[in-house]
Parts: sequence; C-alpha cells; structure tokens
Amino acid sequence: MTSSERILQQAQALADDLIVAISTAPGRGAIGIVRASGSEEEISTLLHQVLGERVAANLQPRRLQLVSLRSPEDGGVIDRGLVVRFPGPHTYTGQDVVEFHLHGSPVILELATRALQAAGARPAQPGEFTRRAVTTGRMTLVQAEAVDALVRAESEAAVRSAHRHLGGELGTRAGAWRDGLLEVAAALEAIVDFPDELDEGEGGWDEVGLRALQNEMTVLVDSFEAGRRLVEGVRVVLTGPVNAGKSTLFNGLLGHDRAIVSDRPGTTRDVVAETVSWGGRVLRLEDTAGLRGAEDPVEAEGIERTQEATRRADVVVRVQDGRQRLASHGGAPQSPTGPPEILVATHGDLLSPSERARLKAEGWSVVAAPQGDGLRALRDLLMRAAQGGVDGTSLLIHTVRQRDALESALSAVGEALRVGANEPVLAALAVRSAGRSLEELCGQWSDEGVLDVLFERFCIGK
Amino acid sequence: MTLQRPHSSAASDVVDVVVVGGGHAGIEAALASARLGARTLLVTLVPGGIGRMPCNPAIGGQGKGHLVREIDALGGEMALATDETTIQFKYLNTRKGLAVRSSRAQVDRFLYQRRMFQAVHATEGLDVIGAEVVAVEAHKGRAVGVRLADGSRVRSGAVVLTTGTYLGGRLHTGRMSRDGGGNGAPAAQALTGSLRALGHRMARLKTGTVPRLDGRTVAWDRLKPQDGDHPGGRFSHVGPPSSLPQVRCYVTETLEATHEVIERGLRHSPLYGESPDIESVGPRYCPSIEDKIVRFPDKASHRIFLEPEGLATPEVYPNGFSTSLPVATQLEALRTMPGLEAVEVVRPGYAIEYDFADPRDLSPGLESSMLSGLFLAGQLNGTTGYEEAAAQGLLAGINASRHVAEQAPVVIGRDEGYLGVLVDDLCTRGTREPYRMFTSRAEWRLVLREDNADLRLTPLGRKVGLVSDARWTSFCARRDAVARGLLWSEETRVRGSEAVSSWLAGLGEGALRRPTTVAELLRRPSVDLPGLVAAAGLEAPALTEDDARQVVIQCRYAGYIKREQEAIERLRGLSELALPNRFPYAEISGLRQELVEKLGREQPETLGEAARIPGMTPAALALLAGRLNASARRAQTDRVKALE
Repeated sequence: MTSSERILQQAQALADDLIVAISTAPGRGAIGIVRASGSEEEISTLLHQVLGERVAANLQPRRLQLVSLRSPEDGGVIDRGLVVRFPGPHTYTGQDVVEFHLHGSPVILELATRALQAAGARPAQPGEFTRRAVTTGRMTLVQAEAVDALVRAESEAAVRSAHRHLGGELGTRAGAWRDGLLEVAAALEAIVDFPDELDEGEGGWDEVGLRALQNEMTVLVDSFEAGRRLVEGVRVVLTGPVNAGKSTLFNGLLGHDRAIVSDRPGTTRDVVAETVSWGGRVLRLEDTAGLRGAEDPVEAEGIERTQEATRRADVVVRVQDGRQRLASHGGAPQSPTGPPEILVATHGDLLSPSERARLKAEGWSVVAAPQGDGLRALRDLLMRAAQGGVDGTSLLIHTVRQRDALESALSAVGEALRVGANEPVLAALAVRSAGRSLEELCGQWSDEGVLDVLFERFCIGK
Repeated sequence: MTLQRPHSSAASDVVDVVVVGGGHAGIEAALASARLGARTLLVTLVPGGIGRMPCNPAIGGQGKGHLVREIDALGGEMALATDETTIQFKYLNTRKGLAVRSSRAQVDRFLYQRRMFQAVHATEGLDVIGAEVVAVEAHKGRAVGVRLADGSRVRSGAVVLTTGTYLGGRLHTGRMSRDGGGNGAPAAQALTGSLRALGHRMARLKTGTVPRLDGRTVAWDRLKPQDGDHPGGRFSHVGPPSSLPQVRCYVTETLEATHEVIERGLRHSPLYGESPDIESVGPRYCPSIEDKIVRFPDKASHRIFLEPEGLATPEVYPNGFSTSLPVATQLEALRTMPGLEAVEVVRPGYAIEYDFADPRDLSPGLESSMLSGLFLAGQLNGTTGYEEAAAQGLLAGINASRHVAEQAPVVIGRDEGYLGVLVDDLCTRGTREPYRMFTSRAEWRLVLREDNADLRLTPLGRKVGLVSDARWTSFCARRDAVARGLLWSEETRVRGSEAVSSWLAGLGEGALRRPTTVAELLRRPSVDLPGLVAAAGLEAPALTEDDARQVVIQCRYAGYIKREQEAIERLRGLSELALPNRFPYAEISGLRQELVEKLGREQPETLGEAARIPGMTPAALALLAGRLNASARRAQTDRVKALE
C-alpha cells in the first residue's frame, strides 16, 4: 500500500465526533451501561444537558457518583444511577469517556441513549469505540483485533490467546522482525550509496540473517489455521446423501432442535450453523443440504453451498443411513486428501447387533440420534479430530488480515533472497516492501528509518 | 557585456532577474535565466570566486551523479564543465547490478572554476557585479529587487538567492572563531534579517572541510594508488570527453597514534570541548574525523583518500579528514599517517556555521511562499554538495525567468527525477541536517536511473527552452536508436542451436527449451548483448555502446520498471484528483478552521496542489480525498504538455 492509500484509509477512521452506545449485552440485567466518547468540550456539554449544570460541573474524574439522568427535552428523570467520567487521553478511546451505570432494563437503556442523542451524540457504529482507540493511538490494530477476539472468545484457550495479543506480543515480535529488516536494508543501502566509504566486510548482504527472519515469520504464518480454529471454532461439516438423517444428528449433537427435521428428502436447503463448546474446545457444527441431482433451483443452490462448506471444513462428517450403507458395496468413501473425515451411520436402532458390529468394523460410528445412542462416543471422536496444536501456549495469529500482511512480507523476503547480492538495490527494495507489510501488521516503518540505522551502524563519509 | 560596473550606476539598474551568489547554484540560476531571455544580473561578494569549489575537487557519486546528468538533460552547465575538466573518471557500483551504476569525476578545480567563470561572462544578457545584498525589496507581496550594502537598489521582476554558507557564516578552528563565508570570503550578515522579516524561518547548520596538504611533502610511493576507469566516461551526451591527462588518487589511513592525537585535541574542539562553541547540526554522512573517532570508538582505522586538486597545483585534498581541531593538532594528527610523516599543510581545515532558510517555506518551484517572485536555491535551503546546489539553482533560474514572463513554474515530480525528490523532500519535510542526495531517498529507483537521465528529462528541457537544436537532434537520434533496439530485442527470437547452447552453458545458464526473444534472454543477469549476437549469429541494429547498454538495462529490469511505473500511475491518479471550484471545505467535519481558510484562499485545483499548501497534514488531505467523488478523477495530464 502506498502512503497515499494509507492516508485515504486513515480518512475514513478520522471522524471524531460525539458517539454513544449501550455497552452491555442486550436483554435484562441488574446493571446496564451506556457509554459516550467525545472531546472534552463535547462531553462537558453533554453532561451539562442530561445532569444539569451544577452536578455536571462537580463530577470528580474517575469517581462513580449517584445522579439523576434527565431528558434534555422535557427535563424528566429517566433513571437514577451512577455516572463516571474519564478525562482523556488515558481512556479506552483516548478521548473523554463517560459511562452511565443504570438499571439494566432495555427500556431505560434505550431512553437513556435517546436522551444522550438529543443532547448531541450520535449512535456509534459497531466497534467504533475500539476503532477510535486505534485512531488516537491508544491501541494498535492488533490489539483492537484482540479485543474483538476476546469478546467473541468461546473457550479459555481463545481468551488466553487473545490476551497475548492484547498485551502486544505480536506487535513486539513483528517489531523485532522489522528492526531486523531495517538492519538488512541499511546494510544493502550502505554498499550502494557509499561504495567506497565502507571498510572491507562492512555492510552488504546478510543472507543468513534474512533467512532466520524468514523462518520465524513462516512459523507464525503457519499458525493461522490454529488461530482461526481457536477463535472461530473448528468447522465440522455434516454431509451425505439426502434423507440420511444429518439434521437429526445435528440437533442431537447440539442437544436442542435447531434444524428442521422431516421425512421428506431435501428438507435442508441451506447451511445451518451453530457453535458449541465442549470441554473448552470450540466447534462450529454445520448441517448441510443432502447431496443428490436436484432439479429444484433452490435445492441446487443449497447443494452448491454444501460443496463450498465441505471445501472449507476442518473436519467432515460423512453421514449415511446405516441400512443403505449395508446395502451398498465398496470401501468407505474416504477421500485421500482434504480434511479428516468421520463416518457416521444413522438409524442404528433399526439395525441388528451383528449389522452394527459389521459397520463398526468398517470404521463407522453407529448412532441413533433421536434416542441419543452413540452420540457421546461421536462427540469424543469429533473433539479428538478437532485437535491440532490449539492449546494457546504459543503465539497464534487470528485474522485473515494478519495472515495476509505476514504472507506479503514473506513473499517480499523470498524475492529479496532470490535476487540477493548481485542486485543489492532490488534486494533492498524487496526488504523495504517486507518491512512495510509488517508495518501494516502493526508497528511503524519509515524509509527515513533505514537511513537512521545506516548512519548509526556504519562510519559513512570520506 | 561589462565585467564589473561601478556601484553608483547600479542604483538605476532595472533587470528581469537578480541572482545573488556566484556558487554552483547561482551559476546555474543565472545561466538558465539569461539563456531563457531574461536580462539577468548576478550579484556576488567575490566576482573572482565564481565557480569556486570550496570543498572536495570532485563531482558526482551515488545520487549526486544522477543529479549532474539531470542538470545536463535540462540544459544546465555542470556536466559540460565537469567533462571538460575531469582528471579522473570512475563508474561506481559496477558489480552491483546495472541499475545502480553511477559516475564520479575528480576535476581540476582551477580549470573548473575558470570554465564556469568563462561560461558566465560569455553569456548574452548576463551581467556580474561585486556587491553585498543586504535586503530583498518587496512591494505588494512581490519581490521587486534587492538593496545593496551601499544603499543603492537594483530593481527586478524576480530575485534568486543562492547565498550558500555566506549568511551569518562563522568559521571555527579549535577554540578560535571568526565571521566569514569560507574560502577567505567575508560573510553576509544583513540578508538573514531581511528573510526573517518576510516570514521565512531561519536556523543554523554546520559543515566543515579538510586541511589542504602540500603534495610535494607527501611520500606517494608509500601509498596505495587508486586509478580511474580507462577509458574514462563523461556526464553529458553532447560535450567531448576530457582531453586532460588523467591522474591517480591515493589512500592512506588513520592509525592508533592518529586517534590518540585527536582524542587529546578534543578538549580544544569547538564541538567537543567544554561549553562547545558549535551547537548547530552537521551532516551525519560527512562527519569530521573527530566525529568518526568519537562515534565509532571500535574502529581502529579510518581510510583517508588523497585527491589532487588540479594538474598545476601541489594542493591535495585529504578526503575523510574534515576537522575543526586547532591547527597544530591537525598537523600533528596528519603526520601520524603513512606517507604523511613530513606533510605540510597549505590551509587548515575548519568548521563553518551558517544560516539556512527552512525550505518548507518554499513551493515546489522553489519560490518563497512569503513573497511572490523570490526564489531560494542551494545550500541556503539546507542542502550540502555542489550537485544538490546546482540542480536547485537551475530550477530556480528557470522559474525566475518564467515568473518574469508570467508563465507557470516548472515542477519536477518525485517520479521524474532526483531533482524532484530533492525539492519535494526539502519543501514538504524540511531538514535538520545538511541534506545530501542518496539513491535510497528515491522510492522509484529503477525508473530514475543515472543512465536514463537524458531520456527522462531532455524533452522537458526542450519545452522549457534550454535545449539547443543541436542537442535536441542528437537526443532524438539516441531516443530512436534505443527504441529501435528495444523493438528488435522484443521481436527477435533465438533458437537453441548448438552454438547458443554451448555459449549459455559457458555462462552457467540453462539451455533454451523453446525459441526465446532477445529481450527475455537479456533478463538473465549473465547474458550480454554482443555475446548473444555473436553466439546466435543475429543481425542486430547498429547501436552505440551507450545505446546498447540502455537496451540491455531496459530489458533486464523490465518487470521491476513496469511495477514501479504502475505504482507511479496510481499515485498520479490520486494527486490529480480534481478539486471542484468553490469546494465546500467548511462542510468537511474534522478539517481545522485554519486549513479551511487556507484552502478557500488558495483554491487548489487538484489534491496534489492541496497537498503542497504549507501546513497541510496527511489527515486533512485524507479528509479531502474522502470527499472527492471518484468520477471527478481527471484524465492524466501530460505534465510536459501542460507547460506549453
């Protein structure tokens, strides 16, 4: 990305007017919080209007105080609750922030929000408080993504991993790589711009150093799959012929009726997904339309989606009616490549013990979903299949953005290594481009920085 | 044509352009201005010092060599003067890829000075007087001339200041300091105040030079010689190469004993002594010997290059030994080095502090933002180096004469030349240390090569009016020959015959699996054109060595060049986004009031122009860009065409 493009991107994030939003989860609760962020002046004006001049003027920073929140339109009391004002810049957003801790009724929270809007605030976009924190430099983009991951975390491991990002570990690591790239670039620039001012062996092409950086970065890029599974859950896709009992199995695994079940083939037309957390491990179960040559365009689209879901799956569960399975011949439909597959034969209650034994011998799990038979064993099987280094003990990247930035840095490093010492300028350009990709990931890269390092390291100048 | 006119008559002078200063910036400014038809007066403190080289007797080097060739393409004088007075020529970086090769010449500094002196005095419409300018005269926001120290005035339509290190110049040697402009010339004290009164921000910088040695007292036979290239090269495509005898440089080095002497002398240093006399910032890339020893204590030795200052002088320039230590310490330290045991110093080294004008107060045409018709160029703008100064002087001279003729200023983009990078860096970022050009400052290095400077900028020089018919004809011939060569290499296929295969194998290259174009083959780093032509029995168009090299470079880096050009186009598209008339700046939330007012006043036509308004921030620009409809994207305007 060029600097101008970066500037354009910043522009979108630069609106810094007064925003307000309900910050607690929807629904009823003991306490509900409404939060606003704006300039010192904007927050003062806001408080003046909803609390009255005297109360607003006497608020102590960072101290909860009992107040009456009033509508600025008719002066009527909306609720009595606690208010706390955080003066910027040491706040979540970097601006002045005020929080109203009110009774947790959706009606009160809605009225309070409306009152604050009447006093000049605008409803915040989703994620806008955090985006503002990034704009004001309170948070890096990676930390903002970590906040998102934290809020969405479905397991303890996901929380642990997100906290590492929030603590800035990825930034620190990328920063160290960026410094390494700066050194490599400076040494290359030195031999180009100061060809006869360096001593023998000074400056030049640090291939060993660059390869070391490449290796470290590769390890982190490869962690993306694990990171995504950790946050989004392991994608488990149920697939198989129509009317095999996939939706019944899906509901059975969830423990409640989420998908519509009927005897009619082709009932499920779309991908139905639900996230479950078993023993600290997150799985995203996806029920799909059964596979057959469908004439109905809606069903055909559903089958398209099934195929798409199967392609992206971490684990594929192949579901087949046990009776049909026994009637057909040939080996299990295991595909040689692709994600691990689990074979499930349904309608186990309609099979004889010997039939069940035969299926099990062929590697099939036999279930009778409506009765719950075999579901526990299947869950254990799924959890084992869903494993894969997802323990939160090593640093992982979570988002596609992080992966893309790292991958483009890596591809530039690869190019630098390819052109190497014979073309120091081409190598330097590639290293700079890698540095800028890491900057996109988090820290700061400046081409001026290359010169700074160069002058610090080498005695330049005749 | 008068050489010097009495001051009394200056009072009645009316000229088009006044150029103040006769250094490398002033010369190019005055020559360009006069050659473009403006009656030009060059005012200098020392009329005999025109074209003097106060520092090293060399022109070019990485980045700088690029500038010299760009000056030549635009119709400036520096390259021609260098070629005629070169006593050693060297291509640098010959083994680091064709794209980064650059040129440096040692010149006879006395011949160079004479050559420039003659050029100035031989130019129609250019007069020279010796006087000190004390103020720029302004009337209704326009520069209308200058006032001289004797109180007389010169009226003019434009003023170019190229005062180098002379404004408030103060020389330091040891703890002794005195006012002066360097090289024995007096300093100019009053002009700084005049600039400041106009609103220009003024600050101090520092630089230094080396002691000059008496070559007759150097034991040359004990030193390692450094030869130039044989045959040598030249900077300009039009002038003849040097016919002067070529000389050697030599290398010596500092020893432990040298470092001891210098460390002992540090307490007498104006920089490192107690309560230092110098606090201005010096260049990191041209450090004094004492700087090097203090900053890199682990380095046991520093190389010192002994460069002859000319054919007829015994003076030697010990490059790398810039110092402001006391004279006795300089001599003692020099005599610790191999070959210099009995050396005598002709002139001691010194540090000089001087006033510079913050270049962020200039437009990209080098015109003052404070006063229309006032142009600043050279070291006054915070740069260092003859080449950086000359390049700016040329641009300022062109634009001063265009100002008088009421033509739009010439602006050179970062994607068009190192001159564009230089001016853009200065005007938008300013500088905290004397600014020297490096190739690493340019983001489009594969497009802005030294070898294609003439191809890039001669058309602009022609449009401006500084490229003569003869030069234009020879340029067109070269441009067409290169184009023919490129076309031939893209259309000619080479088959993997036995001769070709064995030739490729000899180079360590793989054989051809299918017929391959010459252009594709040239992408392989070890493939050279004459070798290929011979091995494959091709019939190549007749090309000079230079033009053939150009074809090879363009083929070899085609992929990279294309990528850079695409990025340049994208950026240009952005900066040429049109801002409609009476754009509602006040309605853009988040735009500071001060900028709303400035934008309303200046009415920039494009986002690129808005970006150049002083005080404009990236954030504000981004807000503007956000408001612009993509449909308002204006078609690419050919900058050269726009000049017509």
